[in-house]
Amino acid sequence: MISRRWILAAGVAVVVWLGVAYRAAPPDAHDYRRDAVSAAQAALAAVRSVALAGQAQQDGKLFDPYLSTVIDDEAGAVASAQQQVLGQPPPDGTRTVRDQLLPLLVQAGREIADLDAALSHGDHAGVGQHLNALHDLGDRLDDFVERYQ
Amino acid sequence: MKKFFAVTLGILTAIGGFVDVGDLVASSLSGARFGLALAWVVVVGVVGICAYAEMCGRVVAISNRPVFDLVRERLGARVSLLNLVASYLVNLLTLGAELGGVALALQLATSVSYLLWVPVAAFVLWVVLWRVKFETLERVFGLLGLTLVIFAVAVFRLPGHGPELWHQALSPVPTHGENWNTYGYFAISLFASAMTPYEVFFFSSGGVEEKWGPRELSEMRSNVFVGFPLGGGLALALMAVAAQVYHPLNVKLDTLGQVALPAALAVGKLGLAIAILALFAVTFGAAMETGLSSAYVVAQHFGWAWGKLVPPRRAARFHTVLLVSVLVGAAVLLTTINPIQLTEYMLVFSAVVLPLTYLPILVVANDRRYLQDHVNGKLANTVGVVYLVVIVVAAVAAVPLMIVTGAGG
Repeated sequence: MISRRWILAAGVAVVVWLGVAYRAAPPDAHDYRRDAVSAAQAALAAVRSVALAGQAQQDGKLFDPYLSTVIDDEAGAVASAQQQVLGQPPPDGTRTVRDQLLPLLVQAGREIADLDAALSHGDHAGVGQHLNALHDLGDRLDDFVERYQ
Repeated sequence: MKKFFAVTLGILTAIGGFVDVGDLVASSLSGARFGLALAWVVVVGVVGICAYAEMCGRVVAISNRPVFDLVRERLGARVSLLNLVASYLVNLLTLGAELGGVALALQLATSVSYLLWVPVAAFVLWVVLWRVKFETLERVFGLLGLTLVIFAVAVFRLPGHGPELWHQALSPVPTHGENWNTYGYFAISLFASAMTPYEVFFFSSGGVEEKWGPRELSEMRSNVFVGFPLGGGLALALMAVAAQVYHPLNVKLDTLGQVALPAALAVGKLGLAIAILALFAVTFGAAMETGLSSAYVVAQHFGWAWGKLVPPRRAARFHTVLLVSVLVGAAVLLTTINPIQLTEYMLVFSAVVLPLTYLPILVVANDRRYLQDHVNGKLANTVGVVYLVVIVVAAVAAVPLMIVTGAGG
């Protein structure tokens, strides 16, 4: 006779298997939009954190090793967000979502790198210009998140 | 005067030692996502840890034995083994997360990758645990942890510290763009960060190491009832600065660098330096506590000689478990798992095993064979049982909420 313990273990195994199968299924339009919003939120966090740190550096409030770490971390976060969006083909009806988001993510990576370069070269005018661009980009990413959340 | 100094020092140590990487991450992430709408959870968690830490301290002071030792004797080897396995695994995760916090703090100070700091941090941790006296460890890192006060200073120097924060704290509901599932998930993380299991193991074993007796009861209670709530206040300060800087910008935190930035914005370079020192001190202090706790629970379960007061030659198995735990904690990090994510998972699994830690404490604290006339009174039992219900609800809901929200989204 099968003991209750074995039935319980089998039940748990089936639930786990169903859970894994559910998570491994290809994304539908809803999943894709959710992932796109998640990528946009990551880029938004990166863009705004770098803008805050860049302004603080301009004001003489940061140490170089700290700033360098923050910029590296956030540049990495934007690269991961780009991979997340490019890593899966958009299901029917979500191509617009991808086409709206990708340019923002590309610009985020570029602006962070350019700000980093301007800060390294002590180019105050360039820093101000890239900080403005990051603020503007942050607003557009925020709009994207609001629209699709 | 000497007694007053000892009590004050104990309280200051308890304040500085209260916060660990779990509090840093949970408080800052919650502040950025929900403002102060989850501040009530920190208060609930602090009351809970005070109630149970006082029970543990009383058990140690009266019986002169650590709680885990009594759990095996009182509840039997099978329950104790289940408790041991769950607690040890969560301790290991916590140790890994704390070591990650140490390495990330060093990265912020040097810009050298945290992965290169992990082996260094693990080695220094082991040497410190091997060579330095228990009381010195506790005092130095507890007092250094007080530098977290910089975040309380930052609260008042940053804009938006007035009625807006109060309004958020008095509106305990999900903020715009969030839902009840993520709110619940972060509430559980915050609750688990206040009640992480290693805290009671370290507290009770530390009491034995420091030879507490009935005369130390009042000192122990002042540490718990004054030091822990003030330490909880520092966790609230971390939440508040994240609420002031990141919440209005709709920024989700995911790095330790972001946690430190508000101190720089508020106080400048000095603020940043103190914040990084604070992050290092609280994570290194907690890494010591979790490392020791891992060895304590195993040694106490199997009845081995244990403790820093026992010469290493006589407590070889205790020190071996300690060394292996530190190595495993470092190895987990060297898989390149993100230390912040590791901390988030650690908090969820801490929540899952909380009943296994706290139910036995409640049972032992009601046993007259160990505590004679010092068993729980009506108030302690009422608070204990109410919290046990909360703990069970948190334990049951933790994993489903983690899955539904994608670990907080």
